[in-house]
Amino acid sequence: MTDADFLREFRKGNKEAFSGLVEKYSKPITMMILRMVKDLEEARDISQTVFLKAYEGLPTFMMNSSFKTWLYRIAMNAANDYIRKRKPNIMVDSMDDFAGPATSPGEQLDRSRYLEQLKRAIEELPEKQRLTLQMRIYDELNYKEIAKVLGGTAGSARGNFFQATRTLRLKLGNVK
Amino acid sequence: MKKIDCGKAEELMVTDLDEGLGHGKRLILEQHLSDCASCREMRNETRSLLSDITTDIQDPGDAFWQYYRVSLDARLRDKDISSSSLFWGTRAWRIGWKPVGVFVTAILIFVVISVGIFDTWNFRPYIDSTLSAQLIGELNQLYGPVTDEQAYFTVGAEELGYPQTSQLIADDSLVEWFEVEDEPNQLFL
Repeated sequence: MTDADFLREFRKGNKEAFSGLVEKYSKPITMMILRMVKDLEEARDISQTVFLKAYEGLPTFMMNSSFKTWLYRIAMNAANDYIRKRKPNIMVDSMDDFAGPATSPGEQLDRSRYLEQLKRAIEELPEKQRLTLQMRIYDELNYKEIAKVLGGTAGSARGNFFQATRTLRLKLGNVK
Repeated sequence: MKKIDCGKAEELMVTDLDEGLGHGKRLILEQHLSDCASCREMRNETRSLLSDITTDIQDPGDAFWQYYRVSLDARLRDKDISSSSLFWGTRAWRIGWKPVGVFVTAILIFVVISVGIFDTWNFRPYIDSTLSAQLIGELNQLYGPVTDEQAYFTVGAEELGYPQTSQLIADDSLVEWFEVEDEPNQLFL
């Protein structure tokens, strides 16, 4: 079923249709929030709040717009609200969060160090570049969708992605 | 074939690794890369970088998602219950307050305009002077005039065949009757 099918069912009064949307988007939305807030419990809470807001807002949701980008926009705003309000001490999470291929202890250490550097470099990117990079790579949103979530045009989103990769490559070029 | 500089080649290689290039642009890029060692190096670095970024944070696991669904369902149920038990939280209220507001505003505007029109017509409380005069005339016949203010209401009484209040007040017997009655300790036979 497509999003539009779920929405039509929901509007007919079939509340179970919302479960289909939760099933489809709860994981990517929660992971995106987790990347931003770096706290699993908070990410779960914020993500659930996003779906509650969507549940409330669905009756007035315009059917001709994209549910996916609408939901991502709600999630982005919710995560940003949380980041603004929270204490600024939760910045870097454990390296264990990165999954890496099994290698020798020495190589693992080098790779861990490299991935840590990469992670820091991503964190230091300007916000729009970082979010564009993450949405493009992790959430597989196209540039048009990213532009709808973050504002701007598909061209500016593409430019942000290019700038992000260039910055990371220049920063990490000598690290590996 | 069209030649490009390293800046343009960098743009094309990122696009190629990200979304893929069309046949024509790919040929142009490949032509440039075959001549430019630094761009070949750049492409390898970018490819490796994008591959490393793809290594996302770890999935929290099935237990997390199971609990996520259960607790979200509970929160959705709570929301349904709270919104259906309270009128103020219902969608009917949220959607319905607008027409109600419009209706109330229309009534208020109607009242204000009506009052304004009556005021410009020099509106006074409606008094059926004919009926009032008739009633007062009958009362006057039975009990005599009570106050001088009745003079106002006797307008038209004459036309109905009732004596005017002024004439009644002028009647000496009636005036005496009032005077007698007002005197204290007066005996009546």
